[in-house]
Amino acid sequence: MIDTLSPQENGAVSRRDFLKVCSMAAAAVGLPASAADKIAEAVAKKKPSVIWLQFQECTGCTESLLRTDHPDVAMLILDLISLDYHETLMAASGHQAEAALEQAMRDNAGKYVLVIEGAIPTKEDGKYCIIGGKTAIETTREAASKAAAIIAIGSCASWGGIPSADPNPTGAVGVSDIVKGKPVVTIPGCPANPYNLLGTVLQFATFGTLPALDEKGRPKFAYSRVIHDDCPRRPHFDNGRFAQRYGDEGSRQGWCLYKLGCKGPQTHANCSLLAFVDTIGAWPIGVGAQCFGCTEKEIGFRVPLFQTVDVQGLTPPAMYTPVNPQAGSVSPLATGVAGLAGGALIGAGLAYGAKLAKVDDEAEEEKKP
Amino acid sequence: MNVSRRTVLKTLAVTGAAGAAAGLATPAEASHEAVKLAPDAMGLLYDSTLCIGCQTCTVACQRANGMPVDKSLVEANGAPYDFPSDTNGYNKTVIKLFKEGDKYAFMKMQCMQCVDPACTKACMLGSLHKVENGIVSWDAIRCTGCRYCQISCPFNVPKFQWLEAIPRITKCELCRSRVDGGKGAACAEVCPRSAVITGKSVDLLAIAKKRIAENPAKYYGEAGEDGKVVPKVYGEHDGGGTQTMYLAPAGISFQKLGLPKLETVPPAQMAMNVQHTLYRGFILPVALYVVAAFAIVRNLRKEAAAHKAQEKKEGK
Amino acid sequence: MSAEARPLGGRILTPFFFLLSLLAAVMAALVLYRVFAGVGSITALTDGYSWGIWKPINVVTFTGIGAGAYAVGLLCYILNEGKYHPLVRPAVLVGALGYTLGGTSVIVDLGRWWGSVFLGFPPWYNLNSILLEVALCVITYMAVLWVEVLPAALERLRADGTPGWKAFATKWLPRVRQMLPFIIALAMLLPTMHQSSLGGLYMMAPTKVHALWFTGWLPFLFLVSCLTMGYGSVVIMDILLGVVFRGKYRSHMKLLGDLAKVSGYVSLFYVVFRFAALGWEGRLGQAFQFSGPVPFFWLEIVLFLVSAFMYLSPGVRANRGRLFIAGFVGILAGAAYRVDTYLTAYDPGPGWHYFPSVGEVLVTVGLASVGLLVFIVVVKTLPILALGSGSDAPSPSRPTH
Repeated sequence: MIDTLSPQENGAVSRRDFLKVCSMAAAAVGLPASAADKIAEAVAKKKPSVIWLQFQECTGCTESLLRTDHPDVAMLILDLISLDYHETLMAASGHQAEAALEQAMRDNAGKYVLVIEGAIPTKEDGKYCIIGGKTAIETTREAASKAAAIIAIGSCASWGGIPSADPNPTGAVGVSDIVKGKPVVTIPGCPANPYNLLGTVLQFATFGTLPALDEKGRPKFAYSRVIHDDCPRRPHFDNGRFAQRYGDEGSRQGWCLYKLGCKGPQTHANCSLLAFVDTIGAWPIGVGAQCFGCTEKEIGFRVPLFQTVDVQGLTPPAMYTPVNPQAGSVSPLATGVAGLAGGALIGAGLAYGAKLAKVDDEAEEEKKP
Repeated sequence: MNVSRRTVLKTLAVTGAAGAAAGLATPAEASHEAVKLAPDAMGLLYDSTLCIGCQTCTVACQRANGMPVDKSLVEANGAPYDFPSDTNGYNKTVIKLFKEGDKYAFMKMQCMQCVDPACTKACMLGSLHKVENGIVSWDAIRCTGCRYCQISCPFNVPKFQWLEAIPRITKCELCRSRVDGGKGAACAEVCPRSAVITGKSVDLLAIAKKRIAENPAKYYGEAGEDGKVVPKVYGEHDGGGTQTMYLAPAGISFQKLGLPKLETVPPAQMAMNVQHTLYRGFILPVALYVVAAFAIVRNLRKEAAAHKAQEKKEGK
Repeated sequence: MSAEARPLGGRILTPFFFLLSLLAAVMAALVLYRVFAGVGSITALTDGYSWGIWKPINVVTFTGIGAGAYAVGLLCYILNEGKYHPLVRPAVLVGALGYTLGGTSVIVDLGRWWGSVFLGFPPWYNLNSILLEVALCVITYMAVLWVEVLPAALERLRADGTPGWKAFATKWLPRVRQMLPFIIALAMLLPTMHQSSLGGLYMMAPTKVHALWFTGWLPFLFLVSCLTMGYGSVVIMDILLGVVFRGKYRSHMKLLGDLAKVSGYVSLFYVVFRFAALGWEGRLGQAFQFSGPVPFFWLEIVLFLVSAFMYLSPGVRANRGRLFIAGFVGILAGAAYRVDTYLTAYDPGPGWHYFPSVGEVLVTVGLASVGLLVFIVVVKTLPILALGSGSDAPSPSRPTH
């Protein structure tokens, strides 16, 4: 467990400690070591503004953000970013909150990072989510128009999440369905891994660029591989050891959960690589429950829990029993001995015959007058 | 005295007669009746398009049959796990990988439970025989370890324990010997994708055909007589039919997966035709014996008479 | 002088005897080890090549060599060419030995050899099994052959045995002689059945035997070629005996010459029939695709033709050495056909490879040594060979049976 750095007794954080935080933050989200200095530099100039909007959501993504360690959220919002609007974390409420949002958007127009948590309902003109008299759709459009970067955190904001599950009575959709024409970084998950968010935000804050994204807008550093490829239980899959039922022997031994319907083979995420709550094993498969594909729109909250899925992009292990056996070998010694025996026999027979033939020929010769 | 023309002709006549007898038994004569698939015959359906190569079936088979762990591939090639390198004296089934560039498919190998097996014809004392539900079973007491079954099986299914003083022939028997019998094959029970399923062969064939009908482009097919490529269920007719059947992914032939190309007649058909024609009712052997005995008695008498005559002549 | 059969006499424990005994002892040790460590412990056999050289050589070739009794017997007893009598007894001895060696090899090769006792239990017979027919036939024929050797043993006992044995032999010799025609008839039937079936065994492997060898005519072809092997072995045996035991035994060159002619024609017939069968079955073209085992097909044909043309040449027949070579090549031809059908032309599928192990070769050599050993001892101690200054004129002398 990585300990948070304790502030000095006067409450200040030493530059050394601060740089350590930046290094940890950079490392945790896959930025190179040199980024640490750049983060410190950028932050020293002016902390980037972040506006965080919340719509049809459970606040789980925020909660998971609160449980980060490197940097911890205090360090994050006090030292690394300027969280100018966050309904859960800000002190203000009511009109003051609305005013804060207006001001943040005005003061940082074109420069702030917009983070959206939660799905956006579209049925009945978005009536199902009205905050401060405006529908989520309106707020989103307005905030997005002036944002430098738009990040949808969590599956709900990425593609609709739980609210969009059948029959989707509110017409819940992800941010990309509302904001067109601008890149939207999606960080799906339920909750999303907060370090995925932090990495993206810090990269943008430090370098002004967004990480490489896949066709769904997901940062490739976190979402390019499926759970199956990095699962700690993969050796059990490869070796045919499966839990057949909860609590059976396989289950107790920690065997692969594929047969119980684990969606790992089709779910892009990095849950096994980047621990939630900085606790190794604090994720579904870690506690013996099958992955249900929370990051994937086609799978999470859609495909039944125990239904098995195809293994996508399966690469067979490098060492596998081949179709044709590799059996039998020719030993040089055996070849020599067999050749010798056979050759000796045939040679002896022919030589003997030839010798005998000569004897008889000579006898014939002698008979002639 | 030269060998008379008579002698030569006699010799050729004898060999010719034997040849004629053999000629009676050409393959065209279906004197061996073809065996049909019984309605309650059990088998397996293996769908290579579903298999993920997890090898749970191999593990379950080992357990269900009390077989030891096989580390042959580990020892031979440094594989990390206990991969068997093939079915052998201690492995009744194995998953194999076919790989060609980016194309790959898995293949499950075990006894084909032929409708009209060659091994049951070859086995001298009937150790390999078909039991209830058409499963081909091996009986330890009757087996002499001659391994003729290995020669006659076109799939090379029966495997032998080469390094045992008391060796056995090992092959899949659809888990009929499981203590909690009636559960069917262990492999099918544990397969996470139901890539291998067990049941009555007629039912399995229907399931295979249904899968093909729902998605014909997914499966490997062969051109029929009209030139049209039709997805194929291997084992429907191959080798006279097998109770264990296969579906292969499009673009990967059954031969690439290790299944031999067979005629629709059982492989032992011709041999049985010849053998049964020659020995039907044991008529030919008995007839030959009678002719031979007759000839010999007569010839010996002739010779004894000639000898007596010679002795008389010489005044003995 | 009458060409009566008499023991050859002479010292048993010669240096050659010791050499053969040594080879036999090595074989015995290997076989003992195999009993406890499994067939795979001394062989290179695998599940793809489950039969190695022991079947085609120890069983099929040795019995093919032993088919001299059958081949000569056909001429002598069925076709009434009584002049061949002097060759029958030694041929029968070679046959008895060849078959005993073959049978021994089978037991050594059987993984669960104790199960073979049930070959005497008809209720368990699988009448579809060609191998069963071969096994029963070979066992019966082996017994028949030793029964055919019996008169020689009885004669020796009657001549030189203790009074008890003399009486026993005197009583039983005529009785055995009386049964002989029916035993000989059996000795004509049984090889017809199993020599053909030894080839027929491989009709069960249509996907594994190369097209040039796989045919429904396998039984017939094996039968015909066992005759040429039998004649070849009688030729070799008689010439060798005449040289090795010079002074005591004289080779029956005239008879061998006649035998050679028969064998020559049969060999030619074999070659013609082989090609004809390939032609009928539309496989002749394969003989000209020189890949895999095809060159060995041509080797067989060449061997058969060489021996045939040598046999049919009067110059060869008059010369012991050349006739010996003709017989030797004749045996090699038949042996090549057998080894090819069982091994060279046998392909169980990709990935399988086989070459005999040192152990297999030593067991084969050891087994052959045992055969030679016993043959030498028996001809020296029992009246097997027709001795004397040996006129080859066909004398209507008392039949040696």
